[in-house]
Formats: sequence, structure tokens, C-alpha cells
Amino acid sequence: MKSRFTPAKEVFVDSVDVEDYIELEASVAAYSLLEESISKPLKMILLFGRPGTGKSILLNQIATKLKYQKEIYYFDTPANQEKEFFQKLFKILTKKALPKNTEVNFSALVDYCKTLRGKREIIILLDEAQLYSAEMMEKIRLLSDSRAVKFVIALHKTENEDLIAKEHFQSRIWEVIELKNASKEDQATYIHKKLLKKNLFEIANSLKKKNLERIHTFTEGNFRECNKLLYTIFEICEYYDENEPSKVNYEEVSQKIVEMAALKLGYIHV
Amino acid sequence: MFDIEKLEKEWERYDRKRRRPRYIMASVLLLIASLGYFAYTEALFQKIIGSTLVEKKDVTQPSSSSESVWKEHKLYTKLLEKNGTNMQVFPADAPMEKEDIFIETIDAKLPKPVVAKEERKPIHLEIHQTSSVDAYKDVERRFNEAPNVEDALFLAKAYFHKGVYKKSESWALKTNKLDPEIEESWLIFIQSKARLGEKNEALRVLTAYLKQHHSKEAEKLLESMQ
Repeated sequence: MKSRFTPAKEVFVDSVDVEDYIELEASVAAYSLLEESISKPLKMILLFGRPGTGKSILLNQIATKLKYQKEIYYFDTPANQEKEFFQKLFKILTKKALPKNTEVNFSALVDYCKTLRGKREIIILLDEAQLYSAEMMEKIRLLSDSRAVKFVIALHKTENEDLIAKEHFQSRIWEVIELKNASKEDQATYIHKKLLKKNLFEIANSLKKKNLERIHTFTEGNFRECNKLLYTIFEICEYYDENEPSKVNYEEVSQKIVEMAALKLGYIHV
Repeated sequence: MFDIEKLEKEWERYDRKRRRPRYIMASVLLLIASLGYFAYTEALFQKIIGSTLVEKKDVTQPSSSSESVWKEHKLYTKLLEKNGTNMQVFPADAPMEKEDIFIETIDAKLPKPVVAKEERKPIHLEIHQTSSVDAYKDVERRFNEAPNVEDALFLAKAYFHKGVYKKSESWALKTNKLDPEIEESWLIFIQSKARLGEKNEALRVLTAYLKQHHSKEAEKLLESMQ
């Protein structure tokens, strides 16, 4: 028999699926800001924040919501090679596939983009942009100068990446949106909404304030870490439910289980 | 699935480690509380054996000046002289080395000293009996280090109640040396003398005392002794 904790565990499988997008006060604000920025005549928009702050899911959400209104494209992972990236871009711009055994002439591509100015407005959402080389970023900057293509660049916030941003884009007109870790309240709402979305009311109620506070302490409000921790918590509950039911309290998730999950994931150490 | 038993054991170790500072803190608090309690009981014990006076007097600064004390002693001597008896009196401020008893004959030509009657605040005494000999010795030691009325009176009363009249007489006398205005020490002195078989002497002192002080207690004592 399937444990009652199994679906709860599955809720917290980390994904950037729009279906899993949870509207929170902070994420709604970031979404509105990004939407507003996209509608402005900006060449580049920088979306940055620590890993797990919801950049990818936000890009996904905006791509899904605006796909019928704007020419918007989401590049989830950087191409292995520059060639691949420009082939993809060529297809988007010309709406034609690149003929076999040919390569994109970058200068010609920039010129082509210039011809599109005022006719089309293409938005490219580049996730994990910290993985692009400096040379690639310079080319992206040149493409954005054509004003026919807007780039939303999602970066991890580290010292190094800030440096990249400074070197390549400092002089460009752009908007900077920073995503931060969730507050205690936002994270609690996030967890509850995720569970309630799957009709797991009892499980949602079994997570008490003290559990949520402890979870926030361990994960520091990071959504990815939160998903990992919740997944492990329900995995332990699932084990007890199936093997040692006396050890699991269905009314309230015990702090012991939360701490066991934290130990397993290395948030705390003996 | 992971090894749940290993994880449980790991959590138990973590929990023990987490609780350790709490145990240490609790132990420290317990220790502080114990020391505090010990210090409190010790202080209470000292208070019981050493400070029976509720209203304390500063011994280093006697209430009357040495001159007035001398005058009072002269008066007692004179009173006793009139009754045909020489009384042993001690100056209150005389140093301990000069414990020798002196007998002074009142010169009839000397003007009669006028004793100003001062309103004295009643001193409430509480006696806590203790069977511990060491406790008395402690008080005696303390008195020898720093003579004070409270300790002397306490010992006088304590020895009187214990029936050690020789000592109670001696301590009552020492009390009177320090402060001749304490009626209680005079009465203990008189009663001790009486119990030691010196009834006539006791009566003489009491009569002399009564001539100077209208004390109901002293009158009562006189009635009981006659």
C-alpha cells in the first residue's frame, strides 16, 4: 500500500515546471518587475540571485505567460559550443533552419538583426548565463545593441559573476532584478501552497510552526534547499509509515525527523 | 532507501551533543544555587548566635561619652556607699588590660553629679538557645577580638538560662562595663549573684539600682527576692 507521505515527497521533487510555480509575495513582485522591464526599450535585463532563489522558474513562468503576446524564447541551458548557440539563434531570427555544413556569420547575423529593428521584438531568456564564455557574452551584447533582440540574463550571484557583469554590461542600458532567499513567512507559504496544490491538506497541517522555523533555519529560505529537505523529511516519514508506524506522528511532524533529514543532507553535523 | 538505523543513531549523538551545554548550564546553576544556599544558611547561623539584638548598636561609638560613664559609675558607688557597701564598678571605656576592680570612696565634699535622664529606646532582645558549646566559644572569641554589647549581653543571658551563673555574672558585668544603662544586664548580674548564694550582695545592688531607676522589672525582682 502506498504511504500517505509518498505524494507529499513527490511534491518536493525539484523542478522548474511552471505547474510547480508558487505565487509568493516576493516572487509576484519579481515577476511584475521582470514583465515591466521586458516591455521597456531595454537591451538587457539582468536577473540574479543565489542558486535556488527561483530564477529558472521565474523565467519559465514569464516565457509561458507571454508566449502568445511576445516573441519570447527560453534557453534553459547554455549550448555546449558557440556554434550550437548561434544555430539556435539563427533559427529563431530567420525562422529557418541553418543549412547543413554551413556556419553562422556573426557579423551578418548582427546586420540581419539591425534590419529587424522596429519590425520585430525578440526576447531571449538566457538561464545559467554564468556558464557562457566571456567571448560569447560579448557577442550577446553586440546582438542586443541591434535593439531587435532583448536578452534577459539569469546569473548566479557570486563575486566572479558580478565581475563578468561589470566588464561586459556595465555601460549598457539595463534593468537589474535581484532574487533573494525567501523569508520565514514566504517559505512557510511556499511549502503549504505546494502541498495544498496537490490536495495534501492533512500533511500540510502536520507541519507546525516550529517545524517550518527549523526548516527555514536549515535552508536559509533557499527554495531548492527547501525542496530537498522537505523531500527527505517525507521520505523518512514514508519509511516509518511503511515499516515502523509507531515512530511516526500523523498529526505533527516531529522535530526529530526534520533534524534527521538535516543530518542526512549535511545541514547539521554530529 | 537510506540506512534509517544509522541515521537514528547519528541523530541521537547530535541530540546528546546539543543538550550538553544545557546540562552544563544546569549543573553550574545548581552549583551556584547550592553555594548561595550554603552562604545563606551560614549567614543565618552567624546571625542566630552572634547578633541577637534586632536593633544594633555601634560598639566603636558608644552612646555615652566616657566622661558621662565615669560620672554614672561614681553615682552608683556613691549610692552604695550610702548603704554602707562598697560596690565594684567598672568604667565603660576602660581598656581591657585594666580590668582590675577599683573601689572608690566618695568624697562627701564632691558636688553631687547630676545625671541627665536620657530617653532610651527600648532594646528588643531575642534569645536563641543553642546547645553548641562551640557556638558560645565563637561568640566569646569574637567579643575578645572586638568587644561589643550585643555579644556580651547575649552570652550573659545564654549562660544565665543554661544555669552557668558564674559566667552569666561575669558577662553581665562586662556588658555593664560597655554600657551601664542596660537594665537587663544589671538584672542578670543581680540574679546571678543571688543564685550563686550572694543574696545580700544581690539585694544591695538591686536596691541601689532601684533608687536610680524606676523599673517595674527591678521592683518585681526585689519582691521575688525578699
